[in-house]
Amino acid sequence: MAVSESYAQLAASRGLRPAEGFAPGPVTPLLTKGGRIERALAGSLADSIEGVIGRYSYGRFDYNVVFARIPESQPFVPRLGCDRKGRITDDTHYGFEVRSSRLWTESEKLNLRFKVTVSPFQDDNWLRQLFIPTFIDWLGESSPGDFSFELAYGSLLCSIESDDPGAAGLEALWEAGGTVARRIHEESTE
Amino acid sequence: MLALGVASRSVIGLLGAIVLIGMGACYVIASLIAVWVAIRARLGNRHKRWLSANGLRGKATVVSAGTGMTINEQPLFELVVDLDVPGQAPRRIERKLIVGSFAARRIRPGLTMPAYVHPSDPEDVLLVW
Repeated sequence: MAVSESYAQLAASRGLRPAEGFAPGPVTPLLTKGGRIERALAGSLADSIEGVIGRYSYGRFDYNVVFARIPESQPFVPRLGCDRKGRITDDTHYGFEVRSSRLWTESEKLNLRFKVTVSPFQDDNWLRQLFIPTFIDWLGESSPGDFSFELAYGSLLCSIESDDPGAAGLEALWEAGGTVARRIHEESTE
Repeated sequence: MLALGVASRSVIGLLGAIVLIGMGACYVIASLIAVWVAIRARLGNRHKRWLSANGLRGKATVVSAGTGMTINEQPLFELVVDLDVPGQAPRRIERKLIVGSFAARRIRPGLTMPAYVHPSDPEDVLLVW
């Protein structure tokens, strides 16, 4: 199935509307790579959160991404990267700068699949509340195999690396984006 | 003539010794400064970690953010923020902050970030970016 058909199928099943020209700017590490989001579709991602799904390309790299704004997270977690271990995005360093970040390694289960980075003085208690066991279980066992997410100053970007994940893969990405957005929103507004 | 030659060699030798001692002293002073900077940074980070674990947690909303210089290729921000900490009266403070280049592009008026205030020293504030 062609990528365009997969997106059309997703739009029909989820009631998403076209969001051509959607350009959030370089607001998360992946988006600073300078690519473009194409085939963008917008709709209700989770609860009151609006989301956009699209195909993000830069250089020889293609991703399918879900973007959402969760500004209520800003006072709790300025930067949070949850990257699939082994993800290669470029020949240069990817993510928040090493010298202004630290690895969060408290959850062994999470560490099996993901590299979690935060601000050096991030409140660990808040992270523990965000990464409740059910969320960790879901990330480790039920999220898409090549799934990663990054949250930077209220902007959330969830992504998968497949070139053409098919309609089912896009459905899974949209669902996963909703799960992450809902969890962050819930913990930020509790 | 011979005495003059010996004297000039002695003077040159003395000057050489002075230069060597001066260079050595410069290296020692530079090393001490580097050690002092490293210790200061380490103590500063230890204090920030303590503050993030034991301080009063609130939020800081950026009112204005200006940057003009960089330190170690990281921009130095002059921030004015509105500090809102539970149990304390809201107040406006100014802080200088060195941030990474990614954060530098995101810090602008309206942005909110976590803030920690020392329980017994309201001037001791940590902004988490």
